[in-house]
Amino acid sequence: MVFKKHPEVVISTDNFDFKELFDANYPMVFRHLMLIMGERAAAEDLAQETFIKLYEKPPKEFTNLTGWLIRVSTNLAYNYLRGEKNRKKRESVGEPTGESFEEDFLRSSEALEARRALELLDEKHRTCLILKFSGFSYDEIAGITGINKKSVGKTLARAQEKFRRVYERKREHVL
Amino acid sequence: MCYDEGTLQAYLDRELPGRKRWEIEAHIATCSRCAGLVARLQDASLLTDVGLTVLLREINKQGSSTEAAWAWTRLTRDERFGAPADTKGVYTMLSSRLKIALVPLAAAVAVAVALSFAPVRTAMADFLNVFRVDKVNTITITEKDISELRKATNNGGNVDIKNFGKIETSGFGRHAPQETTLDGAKKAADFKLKLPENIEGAGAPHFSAIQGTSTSLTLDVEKANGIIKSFGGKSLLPAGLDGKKFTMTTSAAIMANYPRENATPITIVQSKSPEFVFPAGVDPNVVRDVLLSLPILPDGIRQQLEKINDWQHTLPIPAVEGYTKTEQVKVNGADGVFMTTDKVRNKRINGNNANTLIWQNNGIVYGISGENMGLAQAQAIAASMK
Repeated sequence: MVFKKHPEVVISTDNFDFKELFDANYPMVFRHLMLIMGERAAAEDLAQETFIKLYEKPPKEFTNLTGWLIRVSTNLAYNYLRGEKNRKKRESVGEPTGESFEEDFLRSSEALEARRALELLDEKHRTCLILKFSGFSYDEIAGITGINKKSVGKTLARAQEKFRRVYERKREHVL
Repeated sequence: MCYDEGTLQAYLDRELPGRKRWEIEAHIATCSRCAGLVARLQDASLLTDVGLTVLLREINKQGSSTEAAWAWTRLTRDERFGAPADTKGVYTMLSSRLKIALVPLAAAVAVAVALSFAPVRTAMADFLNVFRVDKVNTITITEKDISELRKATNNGGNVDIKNFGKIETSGFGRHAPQETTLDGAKKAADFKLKLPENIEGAGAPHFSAIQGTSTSLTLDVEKANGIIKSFGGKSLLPAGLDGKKFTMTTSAAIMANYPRENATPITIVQSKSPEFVFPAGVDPNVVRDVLLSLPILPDGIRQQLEKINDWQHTLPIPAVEGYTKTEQVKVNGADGVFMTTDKVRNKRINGNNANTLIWQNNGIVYGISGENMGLAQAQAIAASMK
């Protein structure tokens, strides 16, 4: 199995340099997970887990390694968040529950409002928004999320509108 | 013909082929509805970008060290894939955290805690409740060590573990042994109990169970380093440990007391080895080194702890020189430690002077203890346990 890392470099996936791939891609995966989850320790854990999965079961081709890493880490993140939500529900019966994020690190109140606005989006909307912000094309967003490429525009429009509504309100409140 | 918001969003994001773009541009110029919709979409896009940029800037400020992340990832990889086949696949999401049977914290804290209050505990129940291990190893502690340690902890202020971060515990409600029946003991134990058919000169056993516990410490590095500094510690915990959660879980310990006519009972204690869960991203060696470099640890103890190679699985049993003699022995083929006490002196600090045999087998730690019990008798009891 071969893949093109850079157009001119061809590397076999049989003995790829794990460390090299890690160094080149870890910051991106960590950032992505931080945007989705906002919880640093969990983001670090899951970024690590993503690369362990890469090591254990690399994709057949590395032509779209970025897309693979983002897809795997996104799935891990939502699995984790769903688990946390259930856990919290179990632990505090009767109390209102929602995803809660580790917000201590958000020193800027504006960042905190952005975080909260993101929290209110469902998985599909949140992921699309983050992916677009990170510079992925509609094609790539469709590939990562499994959404039909034709629906990406609509999904983004709705997600941004929802985000805007919450964020604007909170921001006005703060500023 | 008007366009839906999805198409207009794609238009804004330059995701449409040239011809389609021109068509839309021409349409917007003449359609106020679509022009208004585009303006609104643009607005929302812009504000979303602002919000996420603010958030990302905050995230980048906090950045995660790729180098550190690599170190943990490699460790995890080696642990999972370098490990024997039968341990693969037991890791769930949460156990991307390293599971280590026993850690340096235990080693250093064991000694520090055990010695920070007067009686050095040789009662096995106390040990088993706190640590369980694959191996046992003794550390000789002199009276001078004890007084040094006590002086250091008195001068250094509060060594209460609560000052190192947030503590969460469970299972401590019924810390004291609860009396139970044989069936109750079997139920309470999460492993197969092993008992001798009978012990010569002793009656039928009474059982009690000590509940398993779980303690987590979410480290507050700033506070912890403050305490380390107050002890004159030079090497500090790395900032990356801040907010990391360390968990120690112990399983139920079962005690069987065999009454004797003219002596205190013979006690058999058994429990599963404790599990120490280190968070991902924490190099246990770093923590161990910091703890071992604490100046409150007397040199003699430090050197002995440093010499334990397999420290992750070894329980250091403090044996006080002059009070307790220890001997490495074989128990059913496994390594064990037999501890005998200087009757007169030990009675003074411990309130009892039982001899004790401790060993480990298949993840379970066993101890037999009894006044005037000889090694041969203890080994015979151990051999008859089924």
